[in-house]
Amino acid sequence: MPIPDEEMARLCRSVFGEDLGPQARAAITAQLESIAATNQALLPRLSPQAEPGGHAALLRRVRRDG
Amino acid sequence: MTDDLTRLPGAEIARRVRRGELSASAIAEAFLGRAERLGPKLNTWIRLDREGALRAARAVDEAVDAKRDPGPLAGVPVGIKDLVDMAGLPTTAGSRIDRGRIAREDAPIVRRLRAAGAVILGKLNLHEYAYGPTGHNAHYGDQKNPWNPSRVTGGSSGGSGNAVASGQAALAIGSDTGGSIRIPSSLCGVVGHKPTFGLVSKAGCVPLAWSLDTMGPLALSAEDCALAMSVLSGHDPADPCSAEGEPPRFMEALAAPTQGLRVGHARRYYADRSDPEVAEAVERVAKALAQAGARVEDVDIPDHALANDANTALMTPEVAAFHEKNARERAGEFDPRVIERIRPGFFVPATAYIQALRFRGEWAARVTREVFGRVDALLSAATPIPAPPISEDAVLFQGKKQPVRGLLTSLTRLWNFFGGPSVAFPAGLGREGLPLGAQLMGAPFSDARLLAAVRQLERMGAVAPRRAPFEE
Repeated sequence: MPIPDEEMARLCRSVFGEDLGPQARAAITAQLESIAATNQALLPRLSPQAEPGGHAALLRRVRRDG
Repeated sequence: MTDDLTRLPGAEIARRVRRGELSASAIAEAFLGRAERLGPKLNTWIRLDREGALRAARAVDEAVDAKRDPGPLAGVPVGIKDLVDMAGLPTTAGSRIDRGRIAREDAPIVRRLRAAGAVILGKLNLHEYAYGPTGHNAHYGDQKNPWNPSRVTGGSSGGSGNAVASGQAALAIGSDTGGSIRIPSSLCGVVGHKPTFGLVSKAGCVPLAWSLDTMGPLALSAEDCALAMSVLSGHDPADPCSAEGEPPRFMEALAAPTQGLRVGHARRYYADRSDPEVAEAVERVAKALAQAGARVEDVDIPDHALANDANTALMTPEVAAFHEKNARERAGEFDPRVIERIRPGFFVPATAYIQALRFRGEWAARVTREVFGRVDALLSAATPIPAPPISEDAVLFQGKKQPVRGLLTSLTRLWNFFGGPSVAFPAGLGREGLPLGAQLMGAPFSDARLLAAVRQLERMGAVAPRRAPFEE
């Protein structure tokens, strides 16, 4: 869902104490929308068993064959 | 004559110093002299430590004279990326903000290097806080490529790349969160090893993104990287991400035959997204591997585009979390190009971060099963283009202007997301006389096997890391 510029300006003021200007806000919005689109693409791929285990779980499974 | 010593590979320096044929002090003087002469022209160093280096070299010489073992890296001159703590020196991380932050103790990897007889020359320049793939730095100068100083080194370990490529250090330590060892290796024509996540301690190193950061070597040969890894790798209780168990035996594994090695040529991963001269160079490497007895077949990396995107959801909030206080209170002291990349991470939903983590586990298991069930290593380009001009933020690529930043990390960041090792190495020179880089990527803990394959390519002459002809 697109993020309105007024909303981004409000968020920037609350975090950074300033609205940063339209160009910086547009760059932030673009990145957030890209991440939101990625998230939408990820959701159907995730199995119910998928946990946010990180690397530790992966590395434990792998045979040490260096 | 003195400068000739700087042409010796690290492993050769160690062999000769250990045998008493060369003095570590003479080696240190030669490299320091070259670093003092070339460093300012290439913006290589944030701080040279002449006194500390000569003191370390004298200690090595005394050990050799007294018939004590001086260590496997005896007398090897090393540069350290300035986000790694060295006791008594500032760890600037390439920033203005941390210019005065003096490290109280050595990072564990620095302790390992010192104990192995390495001679640490100083702290190397980098992209501020390692957050950028070009080597630009508003505070300490843009790192310049010794093959053409109007071009970038690549980053973030740009000082590490240009130090090795220009003969100012035989070995350099870098960090790699999205390609920061492999990109400067590719653009400067040296060998760079991003180890398996957790294999080298990152305690005492300024983080970029905790779940993706790795520390590793850059050098002029696979043997030098293996020698460095034999010292650097191993469990460290001070690093919560440190892998347990015995690390690979790097030097013994270097002799492993390429005969029978199963190499997946990830052609569809890189070829359409690389400059044709880069793709042709990687094709030549594939042929050389086949000539060496490897079984080379085309292999696809499943869902690599989605994994690349998910990596952004993981990395961005981690970077913002580390820099939260300074980004709120001292934003004006960052390079504007760096702070603008930090800010979006404040607004990434926690759910997006967690979904990316969930995806990584399942995707990595799938790659391990589907790819590494078939092959031992994957071959790809390391960067899709040779070094672009320092003055350009975007370059004409495949018919349109594209941001340099995205291009340079487009083929490397996937392997940080996966967590496996990757070795970048030179695959020849392009039309403009600039290095072109390839990489071999592997399953976790297959680091030594990758270095052995690159070593074999070097022996065949198919891969020829060499010093840049800067001010020869």
